Amino acid sequence: MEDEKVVISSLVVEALPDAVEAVAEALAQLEGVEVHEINDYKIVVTVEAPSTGASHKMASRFVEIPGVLNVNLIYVNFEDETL
Amino acid sequence: MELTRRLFVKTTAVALASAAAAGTLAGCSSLPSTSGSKKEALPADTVSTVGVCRFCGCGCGVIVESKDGKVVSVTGDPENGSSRGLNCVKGYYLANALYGEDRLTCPLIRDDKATKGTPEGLREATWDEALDLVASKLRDTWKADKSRLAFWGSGQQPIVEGYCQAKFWKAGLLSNNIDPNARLCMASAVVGFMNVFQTDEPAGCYADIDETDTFVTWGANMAEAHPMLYSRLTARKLADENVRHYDVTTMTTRTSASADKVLTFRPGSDIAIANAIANYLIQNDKYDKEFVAAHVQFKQGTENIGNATDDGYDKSDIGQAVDNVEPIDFAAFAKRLEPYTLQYASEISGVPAEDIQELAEVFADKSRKVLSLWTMGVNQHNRGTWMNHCIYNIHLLTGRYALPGDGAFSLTGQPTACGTAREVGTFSHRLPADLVVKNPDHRRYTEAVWNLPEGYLDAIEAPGFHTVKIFRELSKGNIDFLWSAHNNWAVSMPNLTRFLGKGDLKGINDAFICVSEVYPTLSTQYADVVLPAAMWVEREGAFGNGERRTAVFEKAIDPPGEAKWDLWAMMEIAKRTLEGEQIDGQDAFERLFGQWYDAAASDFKADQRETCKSIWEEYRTFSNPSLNERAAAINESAKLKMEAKQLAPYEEYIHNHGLTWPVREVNGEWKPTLWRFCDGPQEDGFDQYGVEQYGDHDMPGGVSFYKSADKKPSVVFRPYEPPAEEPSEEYPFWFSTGRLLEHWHTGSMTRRIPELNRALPEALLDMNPEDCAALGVADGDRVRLTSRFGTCDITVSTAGRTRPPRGMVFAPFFAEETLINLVVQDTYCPLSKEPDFKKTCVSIEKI
Repeated sequence: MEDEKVVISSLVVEALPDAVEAVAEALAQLEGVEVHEINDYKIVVTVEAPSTGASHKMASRFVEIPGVLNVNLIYVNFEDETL
Repeated sequence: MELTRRLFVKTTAVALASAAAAGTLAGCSSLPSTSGSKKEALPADTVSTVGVCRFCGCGCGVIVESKDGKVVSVTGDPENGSSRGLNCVKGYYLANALYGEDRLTCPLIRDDKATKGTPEGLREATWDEALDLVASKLRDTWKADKSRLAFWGSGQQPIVEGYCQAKFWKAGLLSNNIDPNARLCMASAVVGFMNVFQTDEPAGCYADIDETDTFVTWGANMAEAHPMLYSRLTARKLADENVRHYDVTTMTTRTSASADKVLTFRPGSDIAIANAIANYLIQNDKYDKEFVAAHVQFKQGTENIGNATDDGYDKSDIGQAVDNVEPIDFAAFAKRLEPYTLQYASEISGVPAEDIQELAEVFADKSRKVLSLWTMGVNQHNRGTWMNHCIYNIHLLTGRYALPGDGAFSLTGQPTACGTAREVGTFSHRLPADLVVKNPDHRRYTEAVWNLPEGYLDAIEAPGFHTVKIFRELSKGNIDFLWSAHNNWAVSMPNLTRFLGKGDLKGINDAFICVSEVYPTLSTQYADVVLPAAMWVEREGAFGNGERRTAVFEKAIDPPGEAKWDLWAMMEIAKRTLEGEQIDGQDAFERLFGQWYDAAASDFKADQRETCKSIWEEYRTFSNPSLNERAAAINESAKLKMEAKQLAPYEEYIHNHGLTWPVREVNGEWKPTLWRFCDGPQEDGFDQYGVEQYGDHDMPGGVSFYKSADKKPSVVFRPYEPPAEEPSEEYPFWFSTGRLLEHWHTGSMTRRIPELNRALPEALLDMNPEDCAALGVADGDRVRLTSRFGTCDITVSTAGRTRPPRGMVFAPFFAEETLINLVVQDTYCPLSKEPDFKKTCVSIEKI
């Protein structure tokens, strides 16, 4: 576990107001994705994946969830990848 | 990653995102600084620096963390007023863009010109050998015939580098053959600004997006090209169900998703629609009479201007007359608009008359604010300057300009198209700070700041070659020396069939071409010398984004191998080229650059921070004439109003994570301006000191256009004139090109990232399913795209990002293996010389 390479990022996903709960549920089911908070129509999530590529791939899937309007990247740590 | 570290990083990630969700997305920038808590999260050997995203024109702020010489994390910078903590998903790859496997780390020289156009033929060299070679070729060309040399720069060249490049070319070489790739994206916007307002700048700012009631996007796919701003647009729309969005476009895009109504118009007919709106407002007495009387003058200009497709256009009688305008009165202006009935505009554009009327009514309703946003659909247009005019015409007629949430905002495509290309003047006709070479007062002022003898710059009175001209002359064998930096012309220029010399490699093979680059590109395949450059946060730099915000990015790490700061390479080339030359009895290099650079030691006199600061202080003198007695006297006598674009001392930009100009000194503090020409307290972002110094208080609308002639912007009648070519039996389709989210421009950085490349691996030709059926082609089929200019092969898609109507197709320009610019016309707007990338006529044939 300790040697596993991981890229950790956080995002704010914006959803249609009447779809926020459904979007949050769909997000939570994705591998490595955790929903931490819902603030109005904004959902705070983290993505844990083995690489920036895998993280980006996962985040790019968010827009395919019905009701998602925007995906904003807030923070990404890739020290396991670049160091 | 160790478990404790992993938990800690994750906690940090959640805290940052939570703060962003709480504060910034709806536009209220109340997010507290996170730097305190972040610093605690860092191991002792980790360094945190302030940066700006390397990619698009949004100019998002980022905090960069690095450890052991490597970038380890990137965070949206909540203290950056442009982005307020947000980034688009391209932010994942800001660091990866630095670490592509084929990074250029050593100077390269091509000994055999026959290898040009192939990946082979470049060998490693020392810096001395490469610099000696470049400088000797530049000097030989310069001494023999300086019309045969050129520099092609960029809206990605950081500010102080662009400033020094302009100074080297214009004062050192006395050449105006310098132009940026911003010619390909912003030139029509620039000429529009100059013609209408006599100042090159948007009056508004990104905060307008948070304050408006109605969005009108004109020829703009913000969702793909300006993701952070589009995020603010949708956030605003969500926050208030009464907010509306009209998308005026030639095809359905991701941006159309948030639109209440999409007005899909026939390519080139946008001027007819805009004129019909203006006509409707006047005919129905729905314009703002008080605002118009106080703030507007009316004009008409040269018409029936044809198309700048042939090389002789600029020097033809009509080419020489395109800038002419004459004043007319309001009645004459209204009369000119009369033919533009809703019905007529509908016939030309294919947009239902009732939809045009509905949009006109949006502008008529003064109980609501309206914000127009536009990008390349308007600028890359055979009448790009005119269409910029037409949008301002509507806004000025309805009193909707320079007011919070109520304005017209030209979005930029590159991170420092404004800050460098436009503001420091790397165009063939410009000097720094909006000054132009042909104006004697402007030359005198520049001579004062650059400490040159009076009259020294009279040698550059005539503008040099604009971008298309540079490459046309190159292909004809009339350029002996070309140096390019921060661009990839062998992919991004239109009509590459001609410019890459297909069939006849003479021009491009014979010329000596120097390319400063970070990765091998198609352009380096044509280079005689490649200079490896430090990239992004491998050196200090500054960008100026689309809302007049100047922001410094600090050096975080060292460049790899022997890659060097471009400014160092430039100084070394300038030193060698100018060796033995004198200005006013003094060594020329010493006179121009000696305050920063020690020629004997081949190094800067101070570290990067102090060097950038020192260069900035000279540049800042252009907008702070009181810093230079000689300049101040010229500013006074010639009424140049140079303080109107006042810039602050360098360190203010670092402390404040960027500032929007003009920046005013108030009681020892430097205060930015968000809403230019709008009267109100400077503290709240209004242009209090500018209006006080040059303008008038208590004017209708609360604005004062003090930079415009007679303080009145110009509403200029511009007629609808057809595109350079229209679909025919031989070439039945319109072909438009553009950018898509994953790949920035020509993909020289983003395609280094395998995952981004997998997400959008190939340039697809988006087609309408009915057209596909009619042609007997299906998704995934290869087709040959042919225009009068050239041909390329490409894969068809009916499920691509854009949904063109029948008779139109779209492809992005990032893919060098597809090279769609082989097909695109090099016809440019006669006023701005910006090529039309949106309306080439093509045939499509299954292969």
